[in-house]
Amino acid sequence: MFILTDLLVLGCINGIMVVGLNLQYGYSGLLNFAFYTYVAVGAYISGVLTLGPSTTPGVTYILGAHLPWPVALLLGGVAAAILGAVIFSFTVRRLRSDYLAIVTVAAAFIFWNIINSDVNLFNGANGIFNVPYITGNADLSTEQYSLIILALAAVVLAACVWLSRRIFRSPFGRLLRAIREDEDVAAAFGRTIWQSQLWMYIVGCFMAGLAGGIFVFYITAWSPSAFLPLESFFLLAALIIGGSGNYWGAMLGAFIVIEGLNELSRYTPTFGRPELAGAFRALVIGVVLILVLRFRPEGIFPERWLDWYGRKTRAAAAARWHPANWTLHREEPSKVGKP
Amino acid sequence: MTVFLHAVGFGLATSAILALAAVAVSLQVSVTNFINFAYGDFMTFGAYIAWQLDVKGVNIVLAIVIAGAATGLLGVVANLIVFRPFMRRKVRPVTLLIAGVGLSFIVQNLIVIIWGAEPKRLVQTLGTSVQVGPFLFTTGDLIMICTAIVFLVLLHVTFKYTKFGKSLRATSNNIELAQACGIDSERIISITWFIAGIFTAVAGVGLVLEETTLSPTTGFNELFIIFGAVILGGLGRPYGAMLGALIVGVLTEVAGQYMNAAYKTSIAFAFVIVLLLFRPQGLFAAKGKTS
Amino acid sequence: MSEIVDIREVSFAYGGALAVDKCSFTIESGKVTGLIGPNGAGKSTLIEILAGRLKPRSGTVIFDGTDVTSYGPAKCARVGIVRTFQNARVFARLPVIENVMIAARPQSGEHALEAMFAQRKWKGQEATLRKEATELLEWLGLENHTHQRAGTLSGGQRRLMEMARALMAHPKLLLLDEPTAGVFPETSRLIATRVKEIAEQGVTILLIAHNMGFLSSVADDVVVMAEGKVLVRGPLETVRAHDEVITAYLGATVTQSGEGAGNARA
Repeated sequence: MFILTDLLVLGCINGIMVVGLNLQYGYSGLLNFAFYTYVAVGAYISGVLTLGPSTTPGVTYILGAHLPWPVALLLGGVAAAILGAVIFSFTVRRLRSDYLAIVTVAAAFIFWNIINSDVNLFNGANGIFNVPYITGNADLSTEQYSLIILALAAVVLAACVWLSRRIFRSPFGRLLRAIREDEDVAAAFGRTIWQSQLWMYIVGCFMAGLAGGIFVFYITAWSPSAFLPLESFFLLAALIIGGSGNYWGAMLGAFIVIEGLNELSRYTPTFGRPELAGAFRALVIGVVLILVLRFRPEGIFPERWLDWYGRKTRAAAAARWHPANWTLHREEPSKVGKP
Repeated sequence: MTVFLHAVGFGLATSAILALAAVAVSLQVSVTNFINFAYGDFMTFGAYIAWQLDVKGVNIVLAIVIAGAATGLLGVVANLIVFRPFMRRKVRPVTLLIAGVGLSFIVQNLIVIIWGAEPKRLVQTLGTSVQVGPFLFTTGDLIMICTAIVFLVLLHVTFKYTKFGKSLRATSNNIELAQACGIDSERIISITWFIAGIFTAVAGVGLVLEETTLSPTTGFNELFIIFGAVILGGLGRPYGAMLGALIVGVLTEVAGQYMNAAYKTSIAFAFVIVLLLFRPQGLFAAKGKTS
Repeated sequence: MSEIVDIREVSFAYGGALAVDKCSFTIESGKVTGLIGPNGAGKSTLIEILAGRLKPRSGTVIFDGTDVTSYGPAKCARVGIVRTFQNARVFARLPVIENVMIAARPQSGEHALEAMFAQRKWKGQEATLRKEATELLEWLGLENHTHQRAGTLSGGQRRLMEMARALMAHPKLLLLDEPTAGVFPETSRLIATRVKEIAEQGVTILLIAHNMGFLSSVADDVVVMAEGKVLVRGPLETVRAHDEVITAYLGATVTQSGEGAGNARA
């Protein structure tokens, strides 16, 4: 059914976003309320680089080329990543978490205001449309095209998850977890914190850009009203509720919180007031967010459930309580000399 | 020149509103050491209560008083249900911030659900212009400025001369030490939230008087300018917040006169960003609350 | 015998209070030097300065020929200055073995790009590091706890883990801040033995301790600090009988373990 496909496509796109945000917040502890701006930028670049320069009078926007869609998609991600690197060096390096939150929100709003205004960077409030199908001129129904986009989104999501997993299981992942536990001690062993965080920020922004690109190929249009800065809050909420710090939690958050609630809100009674649907959605997210923070701060799918972490430590914990392993008084080991 | 002075006048009115809100935020930060992202929505809440009463024909001053009490109560309840459980467990400051964001969702959307999203207008018009010296004010502006002065003076008196004020200053300085001296810091914190709530509500009403329309996002839009004023004056220092509000209010109005007014909010946001990047400790580089 | 650490006229103040006052002494390479003195003498502050966490108001610190005064903690670690903390700080939610493995440098797997795309490169290194970490933990008596979360270790176990972690970094200068505070006498003896063995491998050690028994079994000589200044320096027995040292300690409680060579008489 088309609705199901639509759900899955949007779910995958949101999944890519939340997995990317997880790299920034879950792995590195960076608050980024401007995340959706990176999505918007990636979307715009991808769209504009396949659409080409403006041919209609009255429609003005920057850039524009006729590149093949994979290139445009990657460039969208790269653009977002570059923007992220720039912003990071100006802000994240210097600010503590609550000031960083304020600055990112403010920056996101300023950006949105500029884009949405008469300064025709992205063609103002109208945006761009008629972004070509990635399948070129093939004659497809919307349903068939959606399936193709779903395949693309699923593949990219899988790649992002694979990347997250790689990072998690690597020494780099270990370093990130150590920094999260105790920054001072990590520094005492020769680590520069911001360098590690920078890379995660960039990759996270790259994923945001990819998600945006896929989104624009799906909707074939781009407008500021589709990229409200408010959504960044919802993405973070989704990540926290789903389980921050791991990619399963991220995907769970994306599918349940973002997609699930979006769909549910379509079916809530609105008593003739359409804005109620969105309001209920936000209200529920707010309540669940606070409840999760309070009673299950690790999220629905906590990091410690990840196999890699769990198996050995759980076995060790079990063994520790076995009477045969109680060691109150140790005898000095016979080994002498530094190995 | 007249244009400039008029702008300064508007700036004073804006500053009055900002000062009330900024002092509220500063007070709360000084005793609890985190920034509540839901403040803007508290302002909106107070404004809506006042509007609701205004529609029923209640005298504007009485409406402000009732709205103030209601928002004060909201602050206390928010503290009890949302923030205090976290603070008791000594969580990371990020958690409190995100909890504030969640609270913001809740309050803002409750407002939408109860009152709807279309903008509202105050029924009783207070827009008649009054000339005071070289400045041009509306009746609403004057009420706001006078109310602000009254409240701030009251606050100052409370700070310096009452037992509560002393306890408050002790708690904001060093909460554990204050507790060790027998001060019931939880009660102080609750009362502070209540006072902050009152101030916030009055500021919210002032916003409506100035903007003449009220929508669910009115308060949230002001939030960052308020943060700017608070940070400029030094986080957690109510007197600094008053000064910060004065500066920010006048500056934004004057700038708005000479630039496209649609950019006023963006200018304010940009100001906050620049401030945080280059001078996060505010004007007075004294001991701040750094987490 | 070369002097690997040269502290010259170092001063540091917390706000208005002078914690370290024109302190000067040298440490010889490969020796175990104790740093003792009453509370507030500035010992921990000096360690923090050596480790790069604090910058002195004046004075210089020369380590192995380089001026390291302005180095931050990360840079100090990279030149071989490694420290433990007064209240043993661990990465609580990480397993013990990962706590130790973190300290090793350099690790190619720690660069983001290499972590993501060059797995073959660091997998081998990971295995070697894991082996070394396991051996270190065995050497320190923690082999049954390698996969426990570090937060669940007892105080004494944490100190042992801290030592393993410090050793993993292959230090040239090891700064130990009260390595036996709050541990069982047996563990204390284990630590003393290991400290001597580490020094035999050529590592220079500076340690703060209050336990005279422990000190007499490990320290080659001691530096006594009081009120931010160096009072006197020499072998422990000589220093303990020194008039000024006794005066400085009067009123302060000196802890002693029940066992160990030399009962404290101060």
